[in-house]
Amino acid sequence: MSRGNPLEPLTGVASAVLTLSVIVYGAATAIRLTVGLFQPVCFTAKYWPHDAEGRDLAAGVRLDDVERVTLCVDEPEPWHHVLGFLSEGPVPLAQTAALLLLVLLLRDAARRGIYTTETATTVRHLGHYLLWVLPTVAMVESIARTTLVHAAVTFDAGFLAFFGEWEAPWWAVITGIALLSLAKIMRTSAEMRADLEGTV
Amino acid sequence: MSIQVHLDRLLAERGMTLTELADRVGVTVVNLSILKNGRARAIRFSTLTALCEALDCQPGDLLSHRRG
Repeated sequence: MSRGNPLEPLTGVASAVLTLSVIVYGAATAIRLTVGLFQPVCFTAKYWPHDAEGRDLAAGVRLDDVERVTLCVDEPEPWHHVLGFLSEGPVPLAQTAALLLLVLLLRDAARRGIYTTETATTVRHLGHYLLWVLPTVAMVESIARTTLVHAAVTFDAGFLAFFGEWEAPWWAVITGIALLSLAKIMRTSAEMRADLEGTV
Repeated sequence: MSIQVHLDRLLAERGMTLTELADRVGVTVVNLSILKNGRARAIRFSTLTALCEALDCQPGDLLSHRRG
């Protein structure tokens, strides 16, 4: 462990996880945009009313996985692909972006110093990002998934079903609130440090 | 800043340099320079005491308050 940078090993670990995430997400997106365009669009129906039965399905839709209730559109239209991507892609992308923000924050903090008002402001921005962006993106995914389910069944699945599908990332909400508090503490510390350094 | 530091004038009146004063009071030239240029946010009583002893003055000779 480096003695010079108190933010290690966090910076190193976050950088490694970011690199891995970018590679995995990039590969998954590339596969989706090439091979995936010729594959059926599959999505989970969290609140499926018919147990293991494939009833009330629209034409061209089949029940694929009984355990998770996965529905598949065998000959998807372009909008199926778009919604299919929106039902799975945004949250990993937002999480990767959060990791990128964290790495940039740690590198800036190592360069400028931990107890500076600029670092405190960056921590506050990351807190707001986790608190607002990740839950919103998760809701976008749920709306996309619910829209696919609506189009795949012949019965009324309910317009507010996406709230049930919404898997709110509580870890991000809690961490975001914690970071907002930490940012306030860091801002106070930065002001105390400036006072201390300005004392003759 | 509303607190004025008159270190320049006191040094000139006594024919003393900042380096000499730093040696006498045991404060670095850098810190005295911060004080002299009005960039200090606070001054310790111990520093003020040492400055007053070295310059043979009162705190009021060194510092003054200007309204506004």
